[in-house]
Amino acid sequence: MIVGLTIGYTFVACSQEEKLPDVMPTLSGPEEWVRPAVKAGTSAAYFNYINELTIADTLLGVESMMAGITQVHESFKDADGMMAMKHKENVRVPAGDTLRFTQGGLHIMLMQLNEDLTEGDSVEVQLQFRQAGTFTKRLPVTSGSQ
Amino acid sequence: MKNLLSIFLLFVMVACNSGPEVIDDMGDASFNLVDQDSNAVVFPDDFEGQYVVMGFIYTNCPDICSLITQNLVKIQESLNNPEDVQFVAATFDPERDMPSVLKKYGEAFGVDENFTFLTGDSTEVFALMDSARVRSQVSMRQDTEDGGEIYFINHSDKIMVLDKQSRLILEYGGSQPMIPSVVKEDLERIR
Repeated sequence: MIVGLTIGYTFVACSQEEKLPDVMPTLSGPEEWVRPAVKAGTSAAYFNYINELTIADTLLGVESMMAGITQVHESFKDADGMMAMKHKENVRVPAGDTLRFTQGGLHIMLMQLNEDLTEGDSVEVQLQFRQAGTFTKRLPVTSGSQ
Repeated sequence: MKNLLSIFLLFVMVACNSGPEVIDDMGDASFNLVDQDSNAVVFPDDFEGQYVVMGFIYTNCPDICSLITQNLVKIQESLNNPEDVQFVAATFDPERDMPSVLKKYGEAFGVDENFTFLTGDSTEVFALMDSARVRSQVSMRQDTEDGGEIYFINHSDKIMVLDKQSRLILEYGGSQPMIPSVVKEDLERIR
């Protein structure tokens, strides 16, 4: 009995393996920001959008003068356990819901940047909704890790 | 009862002093790479004698790979920039991640001393990835208006720790937000 308890305790006390969840928990940090990046490189924009309409809406596309290509992407873990991204052509937002662009989830990809994005800069992104029309958001460039 | 308790404590001490299990001996092979300043680096030989906390990234991945890089920086900061621990981020996209690209990428994260980005010849880079059991696969190719092409990469999500003998002793999901505190605790326990 004591030997069994001892071995059991030792396994617990000395275990180096941490059981980590598969689902990405919510991250702390600023909610509205764009990651610093270099010219011709790739950045990502994060913020929340609330659909204040009384009907569902659909995000049809995104644009930014700062990037050659702007798209909505979603990060996910694929069936082989690898991290992957997929392009989301349309995103439905139920009435009153919040569309969250967050690290490790849905985000706006700014590709082929026209210039360096450094701390203190800001980036304007335009979202085209089926119902609400065009929504423009200006976001600060920051590391987001502070 | 007192004797039993003593035996129990001795057993725990002996078991705990054995340190983490060696997962793989990375010192079995050497890889000729370059750092963000284009200096030649032989991995892991050039890091022997120090612990190495290492992540795997590509710079056109602003979401998950940024979380991995951010976690490496946070681990370094939380350990107060230790001199006996080297921090390394190796790219699995050597075609685009040239030294100058990695240098600017690192600057955006405010990386400090003892932080090395690694790239190099594709053959050497992917041999390292195989050795570290890091998988990557090109996905989502898109043509651009200027006739070019952009692509993204599905990849493993990993931060690992090598001991002073270049032996792989700890592995983690690299982008998870709790990783900096977990790695810090583990390193403080084994150093």
